[in-house]
Amino acid sequence: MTSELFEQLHDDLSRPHPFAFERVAFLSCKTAHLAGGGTVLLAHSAHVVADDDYEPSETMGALLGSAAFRKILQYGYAHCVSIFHVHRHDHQGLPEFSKVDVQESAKYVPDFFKVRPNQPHGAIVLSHDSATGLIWPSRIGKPEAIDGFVVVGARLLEIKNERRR
Amino acid sequence: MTVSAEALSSLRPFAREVRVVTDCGREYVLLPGLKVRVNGQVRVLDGLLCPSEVHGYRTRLFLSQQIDGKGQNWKPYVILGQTWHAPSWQNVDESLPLPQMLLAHLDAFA
Amino acid sequence: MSVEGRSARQSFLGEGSDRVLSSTRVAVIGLCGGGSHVAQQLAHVGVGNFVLIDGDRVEGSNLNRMVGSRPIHAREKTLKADVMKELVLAVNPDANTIVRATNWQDNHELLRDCTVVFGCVDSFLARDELERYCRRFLLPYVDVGMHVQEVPNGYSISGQVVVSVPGMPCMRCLGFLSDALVSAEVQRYGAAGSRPQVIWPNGVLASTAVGQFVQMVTPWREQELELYLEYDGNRPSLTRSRLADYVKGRKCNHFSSLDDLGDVL
Repeated sequence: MTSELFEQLHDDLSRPHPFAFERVAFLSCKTAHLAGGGTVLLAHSAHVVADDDYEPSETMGALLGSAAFRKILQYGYAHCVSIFHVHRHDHQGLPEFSKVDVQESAKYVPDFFKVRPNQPHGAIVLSHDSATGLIWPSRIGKPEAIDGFVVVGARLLEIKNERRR
Repeated sequence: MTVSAEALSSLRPFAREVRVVTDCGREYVLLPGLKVRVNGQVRVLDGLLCPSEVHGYRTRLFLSQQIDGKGQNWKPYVILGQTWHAPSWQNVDESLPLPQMLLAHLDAFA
Repeated sequence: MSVEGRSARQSFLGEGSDRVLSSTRVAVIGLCGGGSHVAQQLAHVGVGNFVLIDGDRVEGSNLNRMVGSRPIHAREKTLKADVMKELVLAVNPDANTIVRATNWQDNHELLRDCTVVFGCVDSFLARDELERYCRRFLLPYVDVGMHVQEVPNGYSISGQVVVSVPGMPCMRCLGFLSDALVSAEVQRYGAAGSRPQVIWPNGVLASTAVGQFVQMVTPWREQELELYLEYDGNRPSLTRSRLADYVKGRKCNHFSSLDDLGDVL
Protein backbone atom coordinates (compact mmCIF):
# COMPACT_ATOMS: atom_id res chain seq x y z
CA MET A 1 0.00 0.00 0.00
CA THR A 2 1.08 3.59 -0.38
CA SER A 3 2.48 5.39 2.63
CA GLU A 4 -0.38 7.85 2.36
CA LEU A 5 -2.90 5.05 2.77
CA PHE A 6 -0.89 3.49 5.60
CA GLU A 7 -0.86 6.81 7.47
CA GLN A 8 -4.56 7.31 6.80
CA LEU A 9 -5.29 3.92 8.35
CA HIS A 10 -3.23 4.63 11.44
CA ASP A 11 -4.73 8.09 11.81
CA ASP A 12 -8.21 6.65 11.72
CA LEU A 13 -7.42 3.82 14.10
CA SER A 14 -5.89 6.32 16.53
CA ARG A 15 -9.04 8.40 16.88
CA PRO A 16 -10.81 7.90 20.18
CA HIS A 17 -14.34 6.52 20.13
CA PRO A 18 -17.04 7.44 22.63
CA PHE A 19 -17.31 3.88 23.96
CA ALA A 20 -15.34 1.39 21.83
CA PHE A 21 -11.84 0.64 23.13
CA GLU A 22 -10.43 0.25 19.67
CA ARG A 23 -11.41 1.13 16.15
CA VAL A 24 -11.82 -0.99 13.08
CA ALA A 25 -11.39 -0.11 9.43
CA PHE A 26 -11.63 -1.97 6.16
CA LEU A 27 -9.11 -2.04 3.37
CA SER A 28 -10.21 -2.66 -0.21
CA CYS A 29 -7.63 -4.22 -2.49
CA LYS A 30 -7.12 -5.30 -6.02
CA THR A 31 -5.07 -8.41 -6.70
CA ALA A 32 -2.34 -9.51 -9.07
CA HIS A 33 -0.69 -12.85 -9.58
CA LEU A 34 3.08 -13.23 -9.32
CA ALA A 35 5.44 -14.87 -11.79
CA GLY A 36 6.50 -17.61 -9.41
CA GLY A 37 3.02 -18.27 -8.08
CA GLY A 38 1.26 -16.47 -5.28
CA THR A 39 -0.76 -13.32 -5.14
CA VAL A 40 0.02 -9.74 -4.31
CA LEU A 41 -2.69 -7.59 -2.77
CA LEU A 42 -2.66 -3.96 -3.90
CA ALA A 43 -4.46 -1.79 -1.38
CA HIS A 44 -6.53 1.01 -2.84
CA SER A 45 -8.73 2.54 -0.17
CA ALA A 46 -9.24 2.61 3.56
CA HIS A 47 -12.86 2.56 4.65
CA VAL A 48 -13.54 4.23 7.94
CA VAL A 49 -16.23 2.81 10.16
CA ALA A 50 -18.48 5.65 11.30
CA ASP A 51 -18.81 6.24 15.04
CA ASP A 52 -22.50 5.37 14.92
CA ASP A 53 -21.79 2.00 13.35
CA TYR A 54 -20.16 0.60 16.49
CA GLU A 55 -22.17 -1.21 19.15
CA PRO A 56 -21.40 -1.28 22.85
CA SER A 57 -19.78 -4.45 24.11
CA GLU A 58 -18.44 -5.48 27.47
CA THR A 59 -16.41 -8.36 26.08
CA MET A 60 -14.87 -6.98 22.93
CA GLY A 61 -12.67 -3.97 22.18
CA ALA A 62 -14.81 -3.10 19.18
CA LEU A 63 -18.12 -4.53 18.05
CA LEU A 64 -19.38 -3.49 14.66
CA GLY A 65 -23.05 -3.23 13.89
CA SER A 66 -24.66 -4.60 10.75
CA ALA A 67 -24.55 -1.18 9.06
CA ALA A 68 -20.76 -1.20 9.07
CA PHE A 69 -20.67 -4.52 7.29
CA ARG A 70 -23.47 -3.61 4.92
CA LYS A 71 -21.58 -0.55 3.71
CA ILE A 72 -18.34 -2.37 3.00
CA LEU A 73 -20.15 -5.28 1.38
CA GLN A 74 -21.96 -2.85 -0.91
CA TYR A 75 -18.66 -1.30 -1.85
CA GLY A 76 -17.07 -4.68 -2.45
CA TYR A 77 -19.94 -5.74 -4.68
CA ALA A 78 -19.93 -2.50 -6.68
CA HIS A 79 -16.18 -2.37 -7.23
CA CYS A 80 -14.97 -5.96 -7.48
CA VAL A 81 -12.39 -5.73 -4.73
CA SER A 82 -10.95 -7.89 -1.99
CA ILE A 83 -11.97 -6.78 1.50
CA PHE A 84 -9.76 -6.87 4.57
CA HIS A 85 -10.88 -6.13 8.13
CA VAL A 86 -8.21 -4.09 9.90
CA HIS A 87 -7.65 -3.27 13.54
CA ARG A 88 -4.61 -2.40 15.64
CA HIS A 89 -3.03 -3.75 18.78
CA ASP A 90 -1.54 -1.11 21.00
CA HIS A 91 2.13 -2.11 21.06
CA GLN A 92 5.32 -2.09 19.00
CA GLY A 93 6.61 -5.15 17.19
CA LEU A 94 4.99 -7.94 15.24
CA PRO A 95 1.34 -8.35 16.30
CA GLU A 96 -0.55 -11.61 16.58
CA PHE A 97 -4.14 -12.56 16.00
CA SER A 98 -5.71 -13.16 19.40
CA LYS A 99 -8.06 -16.06 19.96
CA VAL A 100 -10.98 -13.63 19.72
CA ASP A 101 -9.55 -12.11 16.52
CA VAL A 102 -9.40 -15.54 14.92
CA GLN A 103 -12.89 -16.51 16.06
CA GLU A 104 -14.45 -13.27 14.90
CA SER A 105 -12.71 -13.21 11.53
CA ALA A 106 -13.98 -16.71 10.84
CA LYS A 107 -17.49 -15.25 11.23
CA TYR A 108 -17.30 -12.11 9.09
CA VAL A 109 -14.85 -13.08 6.34
CA PRO A 110 -17.29 -15.61 4.78
CA ASP A 111 -19.70 -12.72 4.28
CA PHE A 112 -17.13 -11.00 2.08
CA PHE A 113 -17.28 -14.00 -0.24
CA LYS A 114 -21.03 -13.60 -0.60
CA VAL A 115 -20.55 -10.38 -2.56
CA ARG A 116 -17.28 -11.25 -4.29
CA PRO A 117 -16.85 -15.03 -4.29
CA ASN A 118 -13.93 -15.01 -6.74
CA GLN A 119 -11.75 -12.59 -4.79
CA PRO A 120 -9.60 -13.44 -1.76
CA HIS A 121 -10.52 -11.69 1.48
CA GLY A 122 -9.15 -11.56 4.99
CA ALA A 123 -8.08 -9.68 8.05
CA ILE A 124 -5.09 -7.61 9.11
CA VAL A 125 -3.83 -6.73 12.54
CA LEU A 126 -1.52 -3.75 12.87
CA SER A 127 0.74 -2.70 15.67
CA HIS A 128 2.28 0.74 15.85
CA ASP A 129 5.16 -0.33 13.63
CA SER A 130 4.29 -3.70 12.16
CA ALA A 131 1.53 -5.84 10.72
CA THR A 132 0.31 -9.36 10.30
CA GLY A 133 -2.50 -10.74 8.22
CA LEU A 134 -4.56 -13.71 7.22
CA ILE A 135 -5.93 -14.29 3.74
CA TRP A 136 -8.70 -16.63 2.73
CA PRO A 137 -7.91 -17.49 -0.93
CA SER A 138 -11.38 -18.92 -1.30
CA ARG A 139 -14.52 -19.41 0.68
CA ILE A 140 -13.61 -23.02 1.30
CA GLY A 141 -10.49 -23.88 3.19
CA LYS A 142 -8.36 -22.45 5.91
CA PRO A 143 -6.79 -19.01 5.94
CA GLU A 144 -3.12 -18.57 5.14
CA ALA A 145 -0.69 -16.13 6.67
CA ILE A 146 0.18 -13.11 4.57
CA ASP A 147 3.92 -13.29 3.81
CA GLY A 148 4.58 -9.63 4.29
CA PHE A 149 3.63 -6.04 3.71
CA VAL A 150 5.28 -3.26 1.76
CA VAL A 151 4.51 0.38 2.40
CA VAL A 152 5.48 2.37 -0.67
CA GLY A 153 6.49 5.98 -0.31
CA ALA A 154 9.53 8.19 -0.19
CA ARG A 155 10.77 5.64 2.33
CA LEU A 156 9.97 2.00 1.62
CA LEU A 157 8.92 -0.06 4.61
CA GLU A 158 8.97 -3.80 4.25
CA ILE A 159 7.38 -5.94 6.97
CA LYS A 160 8.02 -9.64 6.63
CA ASN A 161 6.17 -12.38 8.43
CA GLU A 162 9.12 -13.69 10.40
CA ARG A 163 7.00 -16.45 11.85
CA ARG A 164 6.94 -18.18 8.47
CA ARG A 165 10.73 -18.53 8.43
CA MET B 1 -13.71 9.92 -25.31
CA THR B 2 -16.37 7.72 -23.77
CA VAL B 3 -17.60 4.72 -25.67
CA SER B 4 -21.39 4.78 -25.59
CA ALA B 5 -23.46 1.71 -24.77
CA GLU B 6 -24.88 1.83 -28.26
CA ALA B 7 -21.44 1.92 -29.86
CA LEU B 8 -20.33 -0.93 -27.63
CA SER B 9 -23.26 -3.11 -28.58
CA SER B 10 -22.45 -2.59 -32.26
CA LEU B 11 -19.29 -4.63 -31.66
CA ARG B 12 -21.06 -7.61 -30.12
CA PRO B 13 -21.17 -9.61 -33.37
CA PHE B 14 -17.37 -9.57 -33.48
CA ALA B 15 -16.48 -11.05 -30.08
CA ARG B 16 -18.00 -12.41 -26.89
CA GLU B 17 -18.50 -10.22 -23.80
CA VAL B 18 -17.43 -6.95 -25.33
CA ARG B 19 -16.75 -4.33 -22.66
CA VAL B 20 -14.97 -1.06 -22.05
CA VAL B 21 -11.89 -1.10 -19.84
CA THR B 22 -9.66 1.81 -18.87
CA ASP B 23 -5.93 1.94 -18.37
CA CYS B 24 -4.69 5.11 -16.74
CA GLY B 25 -7.50 7.19 -18.14
CA ARG B 26 -7.41 5.77 -21.66
CA GLU B 27 -10.43 3.74 -22.81
CA TYR B 28 -10.16 0.48 -24.65
CA VAL B 29 -12.77 -1.92 -25.90
CA LEU B 30 -11.96 -5.46 -24.86
CA LEU B 31 -12.83 -8.02 -27.52
CA PRO B 32 -12.31 -11.53 -26.14
CA GLY B 33 -12.59 -14.28 -28.72
CA LEU B 34 -12.21 -11.92 -31.67
CA LYS B 35 -12.35 -13.73 -34.98
CA VAL B 36 -9.53 -12.63 -37.25
CA ARG B 37 -9.48 -13.80 -40.84
CA VAL B 38 -5.94 -14.60 -42.00
CA ASN B 39 -5.39 -15.95 -45.50
CA GLY B 40 -8.95 -17.17 -45.65
CA GLN B 41 -8.81 -18.96 -42.32
CA VAL B 42 -10.28 -17.76 -39.06
CA ARG B 43 -8.09 -17.37 -36.00
CA VAL B 44 -9.61 -16.63 -32.64
CA LEU B 45 -7.65 -14.22 -30.49
CA ASP B 46 -8.36 -11.60 -27.87
CA GLY B 47 -8.41 -8.04 -29.14
CA LEU B 48 -8.12 -4.65 -27.52
CA LEU B 49 -9.35 -1.73 -29.57
CA CYS B 50 -8.26 1.76 -28.66
CA PRO B 51 -10.73 4.09 -30.40
CA SER B 52 -8.73 7.23 -29.65
CA GLU B 53 -5.18 8.46 -30.14
CA VAL B 54 -2.50 6.22 -28.66
CA HIS B 55 1.27 6.06 -29.23
CA GLY B 56 0.93 8.55 -32.09
CA TYR B 57 -1.68 6.42 -33.88
CA ARG B 58 -5.16 7.80 -34.41
CA THR B 59 -6.66 4.50 -33.28
CA ARG B 60 -5.12 1.10 -32.75
CA LEU B 61 -5.99 -2.59 -32.46
CA PHE B 62 -3.89 -4.75 -30.15
CA LEU B 63 -4.02 -8.54 -30.24
CA SER B 64 -3.17 -11.19 -27.67
CA GLN B 65 -0.77 -12.78 -30.16
CA GLN B 66 1.33 -11.62 -33.06
CA ILE B 67 0.16 -12.89 -36.45
CA ASP B 68 3.23 -14.12 -38.29
CA GLY B 69 3.49 -13.10 -41.92
CA LYS B 70 0.99 -10.29 -41.61
CA GLY B 71 1.60 -6.69 -40.67
CA GLN B 72 4.95 -5.02 -40.16
CA ASN B 73 6.96 -3.80 -37.19
CA TRP B 74 5.08 -5.81 -34.61
CA LYS B 75 5.82 -4.70 -31.08
CA PRO B 76 4.69 -5.90 -27.68
CA TYR B 77 2.93 -3.51 -25.31
CA VAL B 78 1.82 -4.04 -21.74
CA ILE B 79 -1.68 -2.69 -21.26
CA LEU B 80 -3.91 -3.49 -18.31
CA GLY B 81 -1.06 -5.51 -16.86
CA GLN B 82 -0.98 -7.91 -19.79
CA THR B 83 1.09 -8.24 -22.97
CA TRP B 84 -0.55 -7.25 -26.26
CA HIS B 85 0.86 -7.05 -29.75
CA ALA B 86 0.27 -4.61 -32.59
CA PRO B 87 1.79 -3.99 -36.00
CA SER B 88 2.38 -0.62 -37.51
CA TRP B 89 -0.97 0.15 -39.18
CA GLN B 90 -1.76 3.80 -39.58
CA ASN B 91 -4.58 6.15 -40.34
CA VAL B 92 -7.66 4.39 -39.10
CA ASP B 93 -9.71 7.42 -38.21
CA GLU B 94 -11.23 7.92 -34.78
CA SER B 95 -14.41 9.29 -36.35
CA LEU B 96 -15.34 5.92 -37.87
CA PRO B 97 -18.15 3.95 -36.29
CA LEU B 98 -16.58 1.24 -34.14
CA PRO B 99 -17.46 -1.71 -36.42
CA GLN B 100 -15.90 0.04 -39.42
CA MET B 101 -12.92 1.04 -37.30
CA LEU B 102 -12.37 -2.55 -36.22
CA LEU B 103 -12.74 -3.85 -39.78
CA ALA B 104 -10.23 -1.28 -41.03
CA HIS B 105 -7.72 -2.60 -38.50
CA LEU B 106 -8.47 -6.21 -39.35
CA ASP B 107 -7.64 -5.42 -42.99
CA ALA B 108 -4.00 -5.51 -41.89
CA PHE B 109 -4.24 -9.29 -41.51
CA ALA B 110 -6.50 -10.30 -44.39
CA MET C 1 30.17 -17.51 0.48
CA SER C 2 30.05 -14.13 2.18
CA VAL C 3 32.59 -11.42 1.64
CA GLU C 4 33.89 -10.06 4.89
CA GLY C 5 34.11 -6.32 5.13
CA ARG C 6 31.75 -5.40 2.29
CA SER C 7 29.56 -3.42 4.62
CA ALA C 8 32.31 -1.97 6.81
CA ARG C 9 32.32 1.41 5.09
CA GLN C 10 28.57 1.80 4.71
CA SER C 11 27.36 1.14 8.24
CA PHE C 12 26.30 4.80 8.32
CA LEU C 13 23.37 3.76 6.12
CA GLY C 14 21.71 2.53 9.27
CA GLU C 15 21.23 -0.49 11.46
CA GLY C 16 20.08 -3.44 9.46
CA SER C 17 20.75 -1.72 6.14
CA ASP C 18 22.87 -4.61 4.90
CA ARG C 19 20.08 -7.04 5.57
CA VAL C 20 17.58 -4.75 3.87
CA LEU C 21 19.77 -4.30 0.80
CA SER C 22 20.56 -8.00 0.50
CA SER C 23 16.88 -8.91 0.68
CA THR C 24 15.84 -6.26 -1.85
CA ARG C 25 14.96 -7.29 -5.37
CA VAL C 26 15.54 -4.74 -8.12
CA ALA C 27 14.72 -4.85 -11.81
CA VAL C 28 16.94 -3.04 -14.29
CA ILE C 29 15.31 -2.61 -17.69
CA GLY C 30 17.89 -1.65 -20.29
CA LEU C 31 21.48 -2.67 -19.60
CA CYS C 32 23.59 -0.42 -21.78
CA GLY C 33 24.78 3.07 -20.98
CA GLY C 34 22.69 3.86 -17.92
CA GLY C 35 21.56 0.41 -16.88
CA SER C 36 25.05 -1.11 -16.78
CA HIS C 37 26.20 1.56 -14.33
CA VAL C 38 23.08 1.13 -12.23
CA ALA C 39 23.40 -2.63 -12.02
CA GLN C 40 27.09 -2.45 -11.16
CA GLN C 41 26.55 0.04 -8.36
CA LEU C 42 23.59 -1.85 -6.95
CA ALA C 43 25.76 -4.96 -6.79
CA HIS C 44 28.53 -3.06 -5.01
CA VAL C 45 26.14 -1.61 -2.45
CA GLY C 46 24.92 -5.09 -1.63
CA VAL C 47 21.57 -5.54 -3.35
CA GLY C 48 20.93 -9.26 -3.25
CA ASN C 49 18.40 -9.95 -5.98
CA PHE C 50 18.40 -8.78 -9.58
CA VAL C 51 16.07 -9.01 -12.53
CA LEU C 52 18.16 -7.95 -15.54
CA ILE C 53 16.34 -7.42 -18.81
CA ASP C 54 17.70 -6.37 -22.19
CA GLY C 55 17.12 -8.09 -25.52
CA ASP C 56 20.16 -6.69 -27.30
CA ARG C 57 23.63 -8.02 -27.98
CA VAL C 58 26.83 -6.07 -27.43
CA GLU C 59 28.09 -4.17 -30.46
CA GLY C 60 31.28 -2.24 -30.98
CA SER C 61 29.41 1.04 -30.61
CA ASN C 62 28.43 0.07 -27.05
CA LEU C 63 32.01 -0.27 -25.82
CA ASN C 64 32.38 3.45 -25.21
CA ARG C 65 29.82 3.41 -22.40
CA MET C 66 28.52 0.00 -21.36
CA VAL C 67 30.18 -0.84 -18.07
CA GLY C 68 31.46 -4.41 -18.10
CA SER C 69 31.54 -4.67 -21.88
CA ARG C 70 34.76 -5.73 -23.58
CA PRO C 71 35.84 -6.09 -27.23
CA ILE C 72 35.39 -9.86 -27.04
CA HIS C 73 31.72 -9.30 -26.20
CA ALA C 74 31.30 -7.23 -29.36
CA ARG C 75 33.16 -9.79 -31.47
CA GLU C 76 31.07 -12.64 -30.08
CA LYS C 77 27.85 -10.59 -29.95
CA THR C 78 27.31 -11.56 -26.36
CA LEU C 79 23.92 -10.80 -24.88
CA LYS C 80 24.03 -7.64 -22.79
CA ALA C 81 22.01 -9.41 -20.12
CA ASP C 82 24.71 -12.08 -19.84
CA VAL C 83 27.46 -9.47 -19.61
CA MET C 84 25.68 -7.79 -16.73
CA LYS C 85 24.93 -11.02 -14.95
CA GLU C 86 28.64 -11.83 -15.05
CA LEU C 87 29.53 -8.40 -13.74
CA VAL C 88 26.95 -8.45 -10.93
CA LEU C 89 28.07 -11.87 -9.77
CA ALA C 90 31.73 -10.87 -9.95
CA VAL C 91 30.97 -8.01 -7.58
CA ASN C 92 28.50 -9.88 -5.37
CA PRO C 93 28.74 -13.66 -5.74
CA ASP C 94 25.87 -14.07 -3.28
CA ALA C 95 23.43 -12.19 -5.50
CA ASN C 96 20.53 -13.99 -7.12
CA THR C 97 20.11 -12.99 -10.74
CA ILE C 98 17.21 -13.56 -13.09
CA VAL C 99 18.25 -12.68 -16.62
CA ARG C 100 16.02 -12.22 -19.63
CA ALA C 101 17.38 -11.36 -23.07
CA THR C 102 14.03 -10.24 -24.39
CA ASN C 103 11.64 -7.32 -24.27
CA TRP C 104 10.51 -6.63 -20.72
CA GLN C 105 6.94 -6.77 -22.02
CA ASP C 106 7.33 -10.50 -22.61
CA ASN C 107 8.50 -10.98 -19.01
CA HIS C 108 6.66 -8.24 -17.21
CA GLU C 109 5.42 -10.46 -14.39
CA LEU C 110 8.99 -10.70 -13.11
CA LEU C 111 8.74 -7.06 -12.11
CA ARG C 112 5.77 -7.54 -9.85
CA ASP C 113 7.59 -8.62 -6.74
CA CYS C 114 10.51 -6.28 -7.14
CA THR C 115 11.17 -3.59 -4.56
CA VAL C 116 12.13 -0.99 -7.16
CA VAL C 117 12.24 -0.95 -10.94
CA PHE C 118 14.94 1.01 -12.74
CA GLY C 119 14.11 2.11 -16.29
CA CYS C 120 17.20 2.81 -18.37
CA VAL C 121 15.42 2.90 -21.70
CA ASP C 122 15.75 5.22 -24.63
CA SER C 123 12.32 6.49 -25.57
CA PHE C 124 9.44 8.38 -24.01
CA LEU C 125 7.09 5.61 -25.10
CA ALA C 126 9.15 3.02 -23.24
CA ARG C 127 9.24 5.19 -20.14
CA ASP C 128 5.52 5.82 -20.29
CA GLU C 129 4.77 2.15 -20.59
CA LEU C 130 7.09 1.19 -17.74
CA GLU C 131 5.71 3.81 -15.43
CA ARG C 132 2.12 2.80 -16.15
CA TYR C 133 2.99 -0.78 -15.35
CA CYS C 134 4.79 0.15 -12.17
CA ARG C 135 1.89 2.29 -11.01
CA ARG C 136 -0.53 -0.54 -11.69
CA PHE C 137 1.42 -2.85 -9.38
CA LEU C 138 2.48 -0.21 -6.83
CA LEU C 139 6.14 -0.43 -7.74
CA PRO C 140 8.47 2.54 -7.27
CA TYR C 141 10.05 3.40 -10.61
CA VAL C 142 13.36 5.18 -11.10
CA ASP C 143 13.96 6.55 -14.58
CA VAL C 144 17.43 7.33 -15.86
CA GLY C 145 18.22 8.86 -19.20
CA MET C 146 20.60 11.12 -21.07
CA HIS C 147 20.42 12.97 -24.34
CA VAL C 148 23.01 14.57 -26.63
CA GLN C 149 21.70 17.17 -29.02
CA GLU C 150 23.36 19.28 -31.64
CA VAL C 151 22.91 22.98 -30.92
CA PRO C 152 24.13 26.04 -32.87
CA ASN C 153 27.46 26.28 -31.03
CA GLY C 154 28.17 22.59 -30.62
CA TYR C 155 26.47 19.93 -28.55
CA SER C 156 24.32 19.90 -25.48
CA ILE C 157 24.35 17.03 -22.99
CA SER C 158 21.34 16.68 -20.74
CA GLY C 159 19.62 14.02 -18.72
CA GLN C 160 17.37 13.21 -15.81
CA VAL C 161 16.70 11.02 -12.84
CA VAL C 162 12.99 10.82 -12.11
CA VAL C 163 11.62 8.88 -9.17
CA SER C 164 7.98 7.90 -9.64
CA VAL C 165 6.49 6.56 -6.41
CA PRO C 166 2.85 5.39 -6.30
CA GLY C 167 0.81 7.95 -4.43
CA MET C 168 3.27 10.72 -5.26
CA PRO C 169 3.53 12.84 -8.45
CA CYS C 170 4.15 10.81 -11.59
CA MET C 171 6.25 11.70 -14.63
CA ARG C 172 3.24 13.48 -16.15
CA CYS C 173 2.60 15.44 -12.98
CA LEU C 174 6.27 16.43 -12.98
CA GLY C 175 6.05 17.66 -16.57
CA PHE C 176 8.63 15.21 -17.83
CA LEU C 177 6.25 13.11 -19.90
CA SER C 178 3.13 13.84 -21.94
CA ASP C 179 0.98 12.26 -24.65
CA ALA C 180 2.27 14.90 -27.06
CA LEU C 181 5.89 13.93 -26.45
CA VAL C 182 5.14 10.25 -26.96
CA SER C 183 3.15 10.93 -30.13
CA ALA C 184 5.83 13.20 -31.59
CA GLU C 185 8.48 10.60 -30.85
CA VAL C 186 6.49 7.87 -32.59
CA GLN C 187 6.01 10.12 -35.61
CA ARG C 188 9.77 10.60 -35.82
CA TYR C 189 10.43 6.85 -35.76
CA GLY C 190 13.12 5.94 -38.26
CA ALA C 191 14.34 9.49 -38.59
CA ALA C 192 16.35 9.53 -35.35
CA GLY C 193 19.36 7.53 -36.49
CA SER C 194 22.06 6.47 -34.06
CA ARG C 195 21.97 8.78 -31.11
CA PRO C 196 25.22 9.99 -29.58
CA GLN C 197 25.91 8.60 -26.11
CA VAL C 198 28.92 8.81 -23.81
CA ILE C 199 29.84 7.27 -20.47
CA TRP C 200 30.33 10.07 -18.03
CA PRO C 201 26.82 11.57 -18.02
CA ASN C 202 25.46 8.06 -17.62
CA GLY C 203 27.77 7.65 -14.67
CA VAL C 204 26.53 10.81 -12.99
CA LEU C 205 22.89 9.92 -13.58
CA ALA C 206 23.20 6.27 -12.61
CA SER C 207 25.06 7.14 -9.42
CA THR C 208 22.36 9.63 -8.54
CA ALA C 209 19.63 7.10 -9.23
CA VAL C 210 21.30 4.51 -7.01
CA GLY C 211 21.63 7.13 -4.29
CA GLN C 212 17.92 7.83 -4.54
CA PHE C 213 17.20 4.12 -4.23
CA VAL C 214 19.43 3.77 -1.17
CA GLN C 215 17.67 6.70 0.41
CA MET C 216 14.34 4.96 -0.12
CA VAL C 217 15.35 1.67 1.44
CA THR C 218 17.71 2.69 4.24
CA PRO C 219 17.30 5.27 6.98
CA TRP C 220 20.54 7.17 6.43
CA ARG C 221 19.06 10.34 5.01
CA GLU C 222 16.00 12.04 6.44
CA GLN C 223 15.73 14.78 3.84
CA GLU C 224 12.95 14.88 1.31
CA LEU C 225 13.29 12.54 -1.66
CA GLU C 226 14.00 14.51 -4.81
CA LEU C 227 11.59 13.31 -7.46
CA TYR C 228 13.02 15.00 -10.54
CA LEU C 229 16.66 15.92 -10.99
CA GLU C 230 17.82 17.51 -14.22
CA TYR C 231 21.35 17.10 -15.50
CA ASP C 232 23.11 19.76 -17.53
CA GLY C 233 26.22 18.11 -18.91
CA ASN C 234 27.66 21.34 -20.27
CA ARG C 235 27.81 23.27 -17.00
CA PRO C 236 27.98 20.52 -15.48
CA SER C 237 25.28 20.41 -12.86
CA LEU C 238 22.50 18.32 -11.38
CA THR C 239 19.62 20.37 -10.06
CA ARG C 240 16.13 19.84 -8.74
CA SER C 241 13.55 20.51 -11.41
CA ARG C 242 11.50 23.60 -10.64
CA LEU C 243 8.47 21.76 -11.93
CA ALA C 244 8.86 19.30 -9.08
CA ASP C 245 8.51 22.13 -6.58
CA TYR C 246 5.17 23.13 -8.07
CA VAL C 247 3.64 19.73 -7.64
CA LYS C 248 5.18 18.85 -4.30
CA GLY C 249 2.63 17.34 -1.96
CA ARG C 250 -0.03 17.10 -4.65
CA LYS C 251 -1.82 13.87 -5.25
CA CYS C 252 -1.39 12.29 -8.66
CA ASN C 253 -4.61 12.19 -10.63
CA HIS C 254 -3.23 10.19 -13.52
CA PHE C 255 -3.31 6.84 -11.76
CA SER C 256 -5.93 7.19 -9.09
CA SER C 257 -8.70 4.98 -10.43
CA LEU C 258 -9.42 1.52 -9.06
CA ASP C 259 -9.25 0.31 -12.66
CA ASP C 260 -5.61 1.30 -12.75
CA LEU C 261 -4.64 -1.23 -10.11
CA GLY C 262 -3.81 -4.93 -10.35
CA ASP C 263 -4.84 -7.57 -12.84
CA VAL C 264 -7.84 -6.51 -14.84
CA LEU C 265 -8.41 -9.41 -17.17
